[in-house]
Amino acid sequence: MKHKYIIGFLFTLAIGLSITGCKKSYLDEYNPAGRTAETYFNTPQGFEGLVQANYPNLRGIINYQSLYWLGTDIYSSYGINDINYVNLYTKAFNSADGGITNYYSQLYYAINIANTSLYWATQVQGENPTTLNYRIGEAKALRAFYYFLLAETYGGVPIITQPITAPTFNYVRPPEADVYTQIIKDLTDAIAVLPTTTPDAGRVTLGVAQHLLAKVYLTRAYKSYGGGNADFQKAVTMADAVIAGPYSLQPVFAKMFDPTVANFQANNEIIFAVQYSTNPLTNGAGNSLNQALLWDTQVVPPIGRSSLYGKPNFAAVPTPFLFSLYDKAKDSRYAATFWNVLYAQSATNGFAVGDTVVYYPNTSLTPAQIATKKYYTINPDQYRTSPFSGLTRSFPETKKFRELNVPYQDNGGFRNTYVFRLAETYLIDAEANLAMGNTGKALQLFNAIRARAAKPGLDPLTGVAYSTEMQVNTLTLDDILDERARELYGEELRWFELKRTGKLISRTLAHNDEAKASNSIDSHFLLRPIPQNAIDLNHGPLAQNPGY
Amino acid sequence: MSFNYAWAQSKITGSVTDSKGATLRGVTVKVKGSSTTAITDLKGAFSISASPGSQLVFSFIGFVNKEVTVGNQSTINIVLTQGDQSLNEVVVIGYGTKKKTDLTGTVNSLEGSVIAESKALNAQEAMQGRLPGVDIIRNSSKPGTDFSVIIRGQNSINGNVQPLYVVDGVPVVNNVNNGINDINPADIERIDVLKDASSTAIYGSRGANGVVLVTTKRGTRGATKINYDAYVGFVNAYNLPPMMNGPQFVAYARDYYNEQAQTSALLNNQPLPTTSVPDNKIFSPTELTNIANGTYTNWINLIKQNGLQTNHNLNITGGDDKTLYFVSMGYQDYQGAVKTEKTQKFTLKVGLDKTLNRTFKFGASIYSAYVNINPGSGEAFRSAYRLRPTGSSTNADGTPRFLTYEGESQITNPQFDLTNEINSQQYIRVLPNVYGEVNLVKGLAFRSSFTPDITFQRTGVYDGQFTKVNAGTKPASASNGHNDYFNYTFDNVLTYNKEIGKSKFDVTAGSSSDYYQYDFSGISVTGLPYQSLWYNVGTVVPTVINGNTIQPTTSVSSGYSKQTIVSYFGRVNYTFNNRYLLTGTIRGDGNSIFAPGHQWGYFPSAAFAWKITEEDFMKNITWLSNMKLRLSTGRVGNAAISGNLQPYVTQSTIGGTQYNFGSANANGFSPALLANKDLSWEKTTEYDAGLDLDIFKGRISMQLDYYNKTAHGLLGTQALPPENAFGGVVANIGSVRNNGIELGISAVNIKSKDFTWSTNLNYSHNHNEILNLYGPGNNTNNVGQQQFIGYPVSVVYAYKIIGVWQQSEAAQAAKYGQIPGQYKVQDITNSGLNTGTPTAANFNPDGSINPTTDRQIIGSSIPKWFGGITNSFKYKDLDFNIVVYTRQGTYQQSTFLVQYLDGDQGRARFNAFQRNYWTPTNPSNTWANQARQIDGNVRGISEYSNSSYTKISNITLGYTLPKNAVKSIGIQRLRVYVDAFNPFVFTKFVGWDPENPSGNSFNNADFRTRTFMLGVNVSL
Repeated sequence: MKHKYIIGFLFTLAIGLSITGCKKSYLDEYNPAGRTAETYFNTPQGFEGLVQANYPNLRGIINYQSLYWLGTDIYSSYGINDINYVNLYTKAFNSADGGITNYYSQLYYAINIANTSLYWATQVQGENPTTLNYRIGEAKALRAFYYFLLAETYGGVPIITQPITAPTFNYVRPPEADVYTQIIKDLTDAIAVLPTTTPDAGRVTLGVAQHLLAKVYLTRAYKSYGGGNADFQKAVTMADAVIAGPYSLQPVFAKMFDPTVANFQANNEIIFAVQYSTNPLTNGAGNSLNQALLWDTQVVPPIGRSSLYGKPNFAAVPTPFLFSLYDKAKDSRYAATFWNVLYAQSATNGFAVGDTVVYYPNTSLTPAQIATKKYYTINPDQYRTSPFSGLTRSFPETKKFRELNVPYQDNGGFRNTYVFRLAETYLIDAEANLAMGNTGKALQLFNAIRARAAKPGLDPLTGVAYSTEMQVNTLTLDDILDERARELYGEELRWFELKRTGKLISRTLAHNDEAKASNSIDSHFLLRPIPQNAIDLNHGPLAQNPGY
Repeated sequence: MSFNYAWAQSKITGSVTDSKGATLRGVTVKVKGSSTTAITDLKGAFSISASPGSQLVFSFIGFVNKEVTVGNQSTINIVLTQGDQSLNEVVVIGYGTKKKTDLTGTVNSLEGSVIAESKALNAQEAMQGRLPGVDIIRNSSKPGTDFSVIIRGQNSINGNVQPLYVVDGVPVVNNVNNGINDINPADIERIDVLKDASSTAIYGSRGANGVVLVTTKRGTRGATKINYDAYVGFVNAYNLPPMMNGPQFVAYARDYYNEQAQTSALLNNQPLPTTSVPDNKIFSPTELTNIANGTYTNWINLIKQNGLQTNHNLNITGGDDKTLYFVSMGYQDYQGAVKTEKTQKFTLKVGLDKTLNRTFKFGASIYSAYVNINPGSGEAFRSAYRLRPTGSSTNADGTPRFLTYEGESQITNPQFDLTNEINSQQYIRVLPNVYGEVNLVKGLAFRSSFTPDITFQRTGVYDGQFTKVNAGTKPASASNGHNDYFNYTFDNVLTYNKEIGKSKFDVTAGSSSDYYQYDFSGISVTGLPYQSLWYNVGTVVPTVINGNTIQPTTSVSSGYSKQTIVSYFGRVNYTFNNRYLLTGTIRGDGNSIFAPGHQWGYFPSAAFAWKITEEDFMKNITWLSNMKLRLSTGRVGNAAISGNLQPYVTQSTIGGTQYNFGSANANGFSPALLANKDLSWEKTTEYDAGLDLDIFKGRISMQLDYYNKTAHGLLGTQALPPENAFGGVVANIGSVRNNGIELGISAVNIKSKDFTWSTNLNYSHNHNEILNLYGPGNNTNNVGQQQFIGYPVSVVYAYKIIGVWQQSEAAQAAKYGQIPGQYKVQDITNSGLNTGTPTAANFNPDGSINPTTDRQIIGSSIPKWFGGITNSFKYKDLDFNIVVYTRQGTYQQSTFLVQYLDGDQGRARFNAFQRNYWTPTNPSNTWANQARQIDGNVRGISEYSNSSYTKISNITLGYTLPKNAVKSIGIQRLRVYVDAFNPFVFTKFVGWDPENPSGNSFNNADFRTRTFMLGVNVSL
């Protein structure tokens, strides 16, 4: 009898062991579809992939239109009755705002990829040493760019230069000056190793780092802890180096923005551009810049849903002040930037396809003149209202960023976003020279941009070339900011430019009708609030900026 | 005497029937005090030798034992009455069964008949309101949806809180659907829910959230029995929240635009506008025409339908001593209340059990389900609610109009989605099982069982150009995906029973290995030239839309994951003198998803029960037939499967990124997550004290339990400060305690010849509390994730709205930068945690509202209590049954209000919830003025409300035809019935469904529905 029991137990044991005990690997993880950082980033191919992963972050970061544009002299909120605290600088702008929360997270996400790249640069086996140095330069230049955006938005922020491998809960905020020290160190390191050109369009090159460093010095020069004239001089040196580099101003402004021109984006005025493509495998969600700075033309029945005039993203619109800055008779940039006529896209309400539906004359027409026309005429003093349904305004529609073959200008555009362009380098150089009292050199740089912007040919009224008439003899900081608005509308990060020059409050109150009415902007708004989730999730105290 | 005994032996024959006259086979007939026994045969007949004066004992599971003294007769016919169910009920426990009276742990059970009568489409819904301590809510309002089941409180903060489902002894996981959703309720023999640690510890690392054991029907001995049940009914939408009709909306929109201009001026210190906004600024030309003509569109009516529901279930069972067989077929067809919604389910179960001889037994079965789900459009429902009633659904010539008015090109006519947006999921799930049993010696048995669980799923999505998704401007798109799941469980279990004197042992020991593998592939394309659905994704072409040529695209993907678990377990039950019961259990689990060194966990438990009524001093108390005290404790783990803890989570995996350098591909890889190699088991320690009572021979039975369970090292995603780059890391964080009481009572209130009234009632109260978040002794709250020590795991931490600023309060409002018509927020200003009841100590209004000092805990989505009551009446051949369920104390955000109180109202763009809102002339204190309430954060809080509800789950009225009337046509039993499923709900909640308050309005929200059915049940 007993041996039967023993047999029974042995039997069970044997079966149990046969499926588990013998195969020690039964509990090993099998992951044929995935790889880990440790087994991939140390190979040249993996490391290259990691460095490439830095670039998609730019697509999101460069697209924070509400933070870059709203509440400035040339942009305001979309709708007639909008109450947008970012534009108005009211009490409601606080640490819970989604824009400043996501912007902060995205920048630190991007910084971690740069940090991770720099870590694996020390571990990778078999990478060509020259290429390796170049990649290190790319990561450092990008990291510096992100810290620059952080410092200008939030002030002193935690400086992290190592990849995140374990959670940290006790961040503290260093002085803003320390962040600048880190930025300048990274850019200086990058400039030492970066090549002048690259076959890979959109990669960081020497010019990118130099242009950025010029701007960083220029920005720091104004600050209480900055280097003053020494920083202005360094900005000039850097900007001069860029201008002496492989870049040149294009002869025709419009051609850099017109998608009907072949290869319009491939030109050597562009120093750095966020890349997009028509290949859905690399384009991600695509570029949505085409939706910026539009009004909702679809409420006009003969236009309807139109691919030509686009769909607004409601982030921001240009103020009347912007339109007033253009000398529409002489400056070619106005027509390159805006549509002043909108044509019927479908035959309805008495319009045939191609008929003029809305017209924006350069100078106001009289009611009598307007009454004779079948189409809507909108005078420059009417840009804040509209005769159409909805709370949209009707102003000359932006055409600078339009896409071809993106139906109804939906998301998923293909054109690149220019981040640094040589024209801006000229204006940085001019601003730094002006600040140091080198007005002559400043004027020379400034007029180079003015001359290029002029319409071709002679002014029939004077017989003088437009390019000559556009040039000026005197220069102020406000002139430079006005010129930046005309030249870099929709490109520059306007809020930072005004903040740098100390003109944010004065110019916004002067030219942004909504912010002026609200009249609540004060100096505490020169820093955005630290996101509440960064404060809430941190275990130690993370100081909030004063006033929030 | 002994002489007499010898020669007086005589043969006794007879038959055994139940009280309805049906023959009973398998009844044990025993001569008391001897070893002579007999078993009744197919016809209920027996034959046994017994001497006059001796006593025959008839016993049969489920029936009251009967003793008869043998006289001179040679024939004895016996009627056995169905016994006190609660005393004889056998319940299923892990790796075995047990008489309910011998349980030491807490188990609640549902009979198959109750499940079938619930008319629920799946077993989870059938359990709702019928089991204490089991909280069941729907995950989505769409047909074919799963339910969320939480047993004894939310035991994790953001880890898996769903129980382990075990079908016929095999743990099943979520493949396409929840593990038991594919089992036809009609095929379920019983459901047993294991709740306390002593019951669940046999499932070790997967037992912490409770275990739901589903036993499907198998063959039964006896003549072939055929049962057919069919019902048909219509599905009807109800409890629709009020939306504005045409004229109401026109008035609202005008009011909105004017109020907005006023607000803008008020807040911007500009002069107030004196003229009102003209209609042509508010409405498009099409709408102006419609308003002038008084023609409005009720979009909701355009998508609503009365769906049809049809069910057929047929099962055949029978067998003899050696062979048992079972065949069951089911067909379910359900149309939802939104047009084109439809789910179909075909199920088949075939099983065979064969006893070879005293030593060997084997069997095989296969459960298969083919499911075809057409959830309909994910957009039509949302669009129907969003669209302004002033738009047009047709053009002047009567053809359908895609864009319903000028200026609205995102929200499109939902009728187009009904025909152009087609979603389909089809899958086959097969659950075969083979087993063998060896009875080695008396009391010692070995069982080996192998059960694969295989699912093949195909998903198809087609979106035509004219759908909301493609907006009329993007080419038709489709995707075709395949998901394959291959899982298996291999169990080897040894059991041993032994009785020595007054001591009884039974021992279970075994091993188990579980394997879960999933792989998928998918293709997505755009640019389909015609409506080929997802069946011809190779034919994409460039599409010209509005003069633009759009190139077609194709993208492909695939993936794989695998998880394995190895387990060893043992259980010892010891009973002394049928009074004192002890159970000890241990399980060791190894799981592949943890890093080496952290893979193994051990889970012990112990329990004691005392059958007080067996004590001599209780023998005289005859009204008390059973009283048992149970005590148990143990440690169990949380399942690291099917929740949000996935394979490879401890590996530093990488994820693909997309970019290009010019036209060159520059896709790369970046770290996908923050790997946590120290990740380990979530462990729960539980104590349970229970009391079981049966009074008046089972007329009233009661089960009362108190439990206290604490989960440590909770698995979850810990949100990180944003500087960490990753939003969160999966980690063992914090501890949560659940304690509560559960009460189940069943009573036969009236029992007479013709009339019976019985009641089943259950009540559950649970207290849920976070003990710590960052380790014992650390009192830090996690404000960012709204987690607070001493409070439930899910709370709403926000400002508290205490009304609407009135005109008379304008000056006071201005201090806060507010104006009349906006919500008034309670200004408490306390730097500590505010619990929603300001006291003098923490109430210091400072004239400003600030997230740090003015947010409070204003509610929780966790119910304070819930319960159900079922009343059954039987009068002669009529039966009537009503089930009521209630869930109280929940506070949740209403998706309906998010959309139609708050949703994109910048242009009064959506139709709106019909409500009494504040205007300068209507001083409502409930709803703010939409144009004035510009602070979205505060507006968001107004969308939270009490979501408690009470519902009638089921009402059934049945009539069983007289036996004689049907016997002549060869039918044993014929019952016809009418049934109302979920017919009424009572709630103050504003939204479609308090059972699914915050479900996404895209793909998830739907009408709340009820079904009215007519059915027939036939037994042959």
